Amino acid sequence: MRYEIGVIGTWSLRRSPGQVVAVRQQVARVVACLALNAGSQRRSLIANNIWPEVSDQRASANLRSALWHGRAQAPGLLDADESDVWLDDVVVDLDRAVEVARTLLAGDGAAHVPAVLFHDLLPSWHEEWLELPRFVHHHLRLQAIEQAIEARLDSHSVESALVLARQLAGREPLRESTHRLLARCQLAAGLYEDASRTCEGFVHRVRDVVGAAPSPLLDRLWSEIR
Amino acid sequence: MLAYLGLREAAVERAMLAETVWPDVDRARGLANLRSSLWRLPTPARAAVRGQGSRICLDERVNCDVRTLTRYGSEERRVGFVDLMALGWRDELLPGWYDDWVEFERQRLAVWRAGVLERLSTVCCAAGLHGEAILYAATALEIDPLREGAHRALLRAQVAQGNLVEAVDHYRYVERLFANELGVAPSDKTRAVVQT
Repeated sequence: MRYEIGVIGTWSLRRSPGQVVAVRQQVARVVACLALNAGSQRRSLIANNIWPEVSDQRASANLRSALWHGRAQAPGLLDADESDVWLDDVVVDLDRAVEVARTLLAGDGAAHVPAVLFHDLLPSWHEEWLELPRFVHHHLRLQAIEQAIEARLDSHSVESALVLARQLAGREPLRESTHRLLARCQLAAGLYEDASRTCEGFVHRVRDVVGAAPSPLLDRLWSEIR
Repeated sequence: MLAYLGLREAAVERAMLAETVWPDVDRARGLANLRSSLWRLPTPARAAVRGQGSRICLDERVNCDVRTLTRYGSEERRVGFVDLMALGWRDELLPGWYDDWVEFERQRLAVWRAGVLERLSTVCCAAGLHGEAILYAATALEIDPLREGAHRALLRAQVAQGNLVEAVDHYRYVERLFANELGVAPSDKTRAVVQT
């Protein structure tokens, strides 16, 4: 039996084809942690990662309990022996997202940019073990989308570039490189006023929210527009 | 045993190999284990191992994925980020093996990889490839999260990209991380990157 694990945006677990499986939060944490670690990990390591604030003994008891509930709620998903815990037959949405991002970065900027690239790893989960993978994936997906926008601008697919740039700018209101790209797309589309407004809006927002000035790159672009 | 030989560029002493792979048994027993594992290798694999007196190595025609990795890193060839990742640069050495020598080699390879990735990040940043510089630095940090040089490389690339708000956010994250894990503040050199 194959399971589909979703760790991008919101948590989801489905038994193929498409049937939603509800599991306890502790089971979800173990499954997500394994999904981000090549599907298998040492018992002691995963227990301490997920329950860092309790004693080793307590953490491994929590893991045992999670495995027990996991077997009951999602048979055939988790397996373990005395030293390791692993996922059996699963597909993880993150793997697909990483593959798409790499295709875009490898130069195929015209490739389709799926919605999955517009979300971070489990943004509503506040777990220490998630921080690093989330951070790495965040950079990977943003670079990939920006490269896709650049590639579309270069090949004069202005409409398509503009759609992506608007979408990304809406999600990353304080990221300057995205707003410079958006302004360039607007210029390429002949939308001079929109380009100017994009720059002006960004400068005001950064000043109001964090009290900072934009980089010289944005200043230069804005003066060119004017 | 083959894994250990794969990681070594030069021939190793039989006795040393036996001691590394079977640390819990005495020397004679270790050498006996080595002899019997060599003998039990299937015929095509036996051709891969070469004896030179008391020393033993892999035949030069045998390649090991780690050797491919180290070769790419030491030649400082200009390989793209995606090609490098496809070679398995994020993957751990022999996951699921917990022998002492594997843990040691895993750690050694991880530190070396993080260093190469940090250098690649610096080179890309200087060449104006800021996006790639960020990806190299982030991958170095995935391997070694407390590596300050890689944090600095990331911050420099973010500043060069004009993403100042993100650079300051990341600097605050480094401050928190260092305070929690090491009980120290980032160095002045790192702070200087976001203060310009």
